[in-house]
Amino acid sequence: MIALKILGILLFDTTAWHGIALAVLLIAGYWGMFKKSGVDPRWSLVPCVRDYMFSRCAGREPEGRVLFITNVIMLVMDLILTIVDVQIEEGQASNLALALSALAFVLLIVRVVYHIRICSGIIQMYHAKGWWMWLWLFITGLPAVIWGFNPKYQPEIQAEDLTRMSLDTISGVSVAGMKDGLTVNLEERTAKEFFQKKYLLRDIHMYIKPGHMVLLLGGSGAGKTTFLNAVNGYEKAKAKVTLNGGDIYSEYKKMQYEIGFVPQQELMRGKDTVYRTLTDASRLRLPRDISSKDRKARVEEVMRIFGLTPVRGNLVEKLSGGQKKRLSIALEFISNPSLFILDEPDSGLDGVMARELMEQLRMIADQGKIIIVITHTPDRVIDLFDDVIVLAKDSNRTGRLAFFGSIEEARSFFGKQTMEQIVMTINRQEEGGEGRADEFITKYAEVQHA
Amino acid sequence: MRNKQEAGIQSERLVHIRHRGRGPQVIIYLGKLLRMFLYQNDWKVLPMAAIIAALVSMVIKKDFFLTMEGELKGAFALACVAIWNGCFNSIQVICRERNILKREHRAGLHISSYIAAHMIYQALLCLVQSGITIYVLIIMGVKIPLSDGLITFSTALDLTITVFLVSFASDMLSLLISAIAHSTTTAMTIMPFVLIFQLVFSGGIFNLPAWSEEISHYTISSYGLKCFAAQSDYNNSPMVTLWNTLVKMKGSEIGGTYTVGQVLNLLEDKDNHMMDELRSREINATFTVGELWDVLTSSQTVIGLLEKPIDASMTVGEILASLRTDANFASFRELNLGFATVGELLNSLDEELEGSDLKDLEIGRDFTLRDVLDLLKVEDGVNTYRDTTLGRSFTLGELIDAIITNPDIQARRDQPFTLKITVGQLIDLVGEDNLREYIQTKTAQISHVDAYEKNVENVVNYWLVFILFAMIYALLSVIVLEFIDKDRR
Repeated sequence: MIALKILGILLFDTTAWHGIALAVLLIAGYWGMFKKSGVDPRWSLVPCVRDYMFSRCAGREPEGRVLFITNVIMLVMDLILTIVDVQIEEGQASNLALALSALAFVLLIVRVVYHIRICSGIIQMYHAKGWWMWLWLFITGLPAVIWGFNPKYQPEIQAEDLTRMSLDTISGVSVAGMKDGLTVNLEERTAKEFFQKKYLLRDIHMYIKPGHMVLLLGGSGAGKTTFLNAVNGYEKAKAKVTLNGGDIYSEYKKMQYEIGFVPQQELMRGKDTVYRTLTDASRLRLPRDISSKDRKARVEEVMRIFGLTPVRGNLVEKLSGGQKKRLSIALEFISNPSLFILDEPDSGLDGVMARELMEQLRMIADQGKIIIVITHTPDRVIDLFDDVIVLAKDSNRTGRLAFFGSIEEARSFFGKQTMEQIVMTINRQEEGGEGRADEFITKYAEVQHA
Repeated sequence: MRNKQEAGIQSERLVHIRHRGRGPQVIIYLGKLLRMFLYQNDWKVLPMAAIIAALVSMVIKKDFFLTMEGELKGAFALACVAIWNGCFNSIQVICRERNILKREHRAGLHISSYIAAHMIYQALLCLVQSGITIYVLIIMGVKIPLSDGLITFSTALDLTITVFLVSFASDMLSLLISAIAHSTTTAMTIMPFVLIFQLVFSGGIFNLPAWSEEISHYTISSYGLKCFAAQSDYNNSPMVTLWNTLVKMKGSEIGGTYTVGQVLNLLEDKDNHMMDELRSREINATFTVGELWDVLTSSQTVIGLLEKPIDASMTVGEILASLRTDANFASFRELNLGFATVGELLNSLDEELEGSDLKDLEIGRDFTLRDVLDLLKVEDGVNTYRDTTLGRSFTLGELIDAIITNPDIQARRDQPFTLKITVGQLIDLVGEDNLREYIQTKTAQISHVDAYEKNVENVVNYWLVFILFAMIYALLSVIVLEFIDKDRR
């Protein structure tokens, strides 16, 4: 009898006959819906996983993860309680049963909330009316069967297959490592997402000369920040990245001081003074054998370069937006890095201030440094850049290199005059773009291969 | 060309460049944290500690270091204060600057240095808070001894060290939460659960079910409470709850209607071990013949009896014979006066009067019992034996046996009687001082807890546990930030 109960719980999450009937209805409905969304329908037979797959059909994968974990815990507890039930009759394990019951109640609340979220997603996905929610909440199997087998109900988009590789076309080239400059040979950058491997970046190869200021272009979610993190070695990819002959990955501890990464936000302690902030940065970033006098001189020099001397005693939080940006850059510049990476340094600045900042970066590049900049308003300062990197999401939402070269070559390659037009060309149609990313990724791969 | 040369030189020099290691980084961050103390209003935790201590002192000052209950209450309150202070010191410190930390880690910061700097800074903060807490308690009137310390020269200093260690361990626990949480909102949401968990599973105040007692071994509050209780000498303090309750109930009337049989059953119960002690209690019931005579002659009942004319016309000899032989006077004859029984006295009197005219003297209506006594010169006899001691010491057990073997009493088993007495009367009957001492000592003995025993070994062990807790939490913080959360930091 217990074996039957356990089997019932494993297959249908319940042992009651009416519950099993509803579960069978749900499985049948999921089967049809999974097929429509491009998910393997056999997943509908697997308890817990079927709800996760359903969340992907609804475009609510993060909620699905929580629901999956909740379901697994509840399933395990259900099984334990089924066994413990017998023992209770013999007067044992009642405390365990009580504790599990209390936990099950908490999890039930979580399950209901996340189920509502996922149902709301599936309703949006099928462009259905709001009242369907009541059916989805109380007799899930019924709407599942209707939506699964009635051709009238179709999902807006297919569920994303996280396991799929990116666009098949790859350049197949590798850039030779140089003694100077930055060489990037990135095969892939993946991330584990809920036991699945997700491709974030793939097939990016380039060589950037010293003294070049490079614009990094790409639509939202193209993987610009991921690419920069992979280049500076903080989040490692399957790649070989060398800077002036040194391998950033294998010699990261030494090379990290040669790379300055300026994040988008001003990540500094607002309650510290400008001078103290820079002094601490110098003590952290400069070599330890440098004399105190030289270190202080470097701090003064950097303050002078970035126009921070008049506000040296001010608290960081009291600075203007432009001053904060400059201080943020100064923190990285203090160690005189060879590679300078800036993530939207001009965000929040007006045109004049943004131009001034970019000119300052140009000056730094002219000292033989490599500057890579992400900006969403590139055209007003495009004359200051030497090269452009264009990243695009391919049809499988993997970040790919759509172009790397000079500004003029980029205009010619995409047949567009402005950088903003280039971004629009590669952006997906649902994002308001032309959706030609795959075309240019393939074209550039062929160019590289040739 | 110049750029290429510069880059080449730079690449070469990288091999030889060394940056500041973990130790110097700790100093850099310690300086940063101390500045934050001033500018970021972290100093506010110090007056907050004083306010909390003042509030708590109002609750505990009455009986902390005086009674068992007061010590348990005070120990719990002090543990709560220390945990509260510690938790609030660091709950936001990492999560509020998570992105800054990420940036600095990218620039070469060692996570271990960062955590070590926090440990030192938080230790200083906790130390000052602990000093403030104990100082405020003392000036608010909590009777913490300034001398006679168990570990140091002063109990107050011992307590300060314990408050510091409990605070520091809690501080490190909060630091771990702050390292795990990705935002201050998340950290502050977790915080109440941690506090409630610590308070509920402290194990001293709340009675935990047996299966959950094991959990209390993993809470800082449990060891905190034990350590404070041990330092305040819980086991050697009186327990006053029961006595105070009895005193409050002094006016309450107790009693009811019982039968003689119920009382006899109680007295006859051999399995009632409480009776053993009662039975062995000795009662000294000696008195002199003079005292007995004075009591008798001053009693109005006896005076009335003595003055009452005797109805029957009998000779003295007949009266004596009646007293010596009549079954009704059997128990009277057995009455032991210490030097002889009443029967023996009557026999010797009978022998004295043998052949005397007095024996044949007829006592009629004109006589009273006093006349008889005068004739017999009883008063002269009493005066002769006035200082002779009568009676003897006997145990309550003998008295109880006399009661339960008395056929008259046994015959009245079903006779009901009503007992009405107030708690106050009962206390007065037993003796207030005796009863208070007895109740307080007995209840304190029953409430003895080995873990609260005041000795150096216990306290030092608890201190080591706090240090161990703090180290584990700090290490876990490093692990969380260094490995587990690396990609998402």
